[in-house]
Amino acid sequence: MKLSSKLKWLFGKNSDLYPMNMPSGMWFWAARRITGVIVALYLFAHLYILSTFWSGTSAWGGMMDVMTSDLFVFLDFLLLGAVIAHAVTGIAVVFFDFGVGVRKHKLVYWVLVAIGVLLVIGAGYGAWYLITN
Amino acid sequence: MMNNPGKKKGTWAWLLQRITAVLILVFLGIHIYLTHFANLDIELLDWNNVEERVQALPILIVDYGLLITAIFHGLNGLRMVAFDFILTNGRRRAIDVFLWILGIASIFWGLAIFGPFLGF
Repeated sequence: MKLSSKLKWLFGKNSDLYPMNMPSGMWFWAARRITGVIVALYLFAHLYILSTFWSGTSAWGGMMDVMTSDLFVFLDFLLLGAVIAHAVTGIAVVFFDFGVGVRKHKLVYWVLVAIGVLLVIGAGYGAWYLITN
Repeated sequence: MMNNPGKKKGTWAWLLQRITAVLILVFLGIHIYLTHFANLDIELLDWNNVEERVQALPILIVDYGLLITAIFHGLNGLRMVAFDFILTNGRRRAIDVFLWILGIASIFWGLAIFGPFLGF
């Protein structure tokens, strides 16, 4: 098989990997995995940065000058977005695993996504306020 | 057939992942609100503000609870991802040993972080 036809077989309109053919649960699963790995790795960055407490008040102040800069506020916003995406899709998993809403799983997912969008907007407002003030 | 001579079903890993998920929802909500959103006009992460929060027992319990549940949930999640790709028993066991050591060390690391505020 030629490479182009192989790619068409893998990602073409008749393939399960063609974006419009993917069940929404598959997208939520992928989003949960990717954000989960990002947040898990962030935990160690968080511990490392907080360890600056051991170096005293002035070292902490210097670290916080960097961490409250516009760039890091924006990065924090992205991180919080990842946490929210992970949380809302994860809540759905907990519901389904304990038998709640299984027969209406798409509705459950989209209600949770709507809540997640509202939370991201709230987080965005906070980040915007910190950057502009 | 999956290589699984230990006949481990992973029930505890599954259940604890759900329990810690719900706990993290509560702990992390409180944590992020208090450290970032409670007051947008003052610097909530200044040394004195952190000291005041950490010395309040309920907040310390939330933060230490978050530490333990988040490390468990994060490393158990990485274990799930790893086990989707690594199927042989010996390698899986090596990952388990590595993650247990990393997790316990990280929890002690995190517990010690507030030492300057708590006098140890």
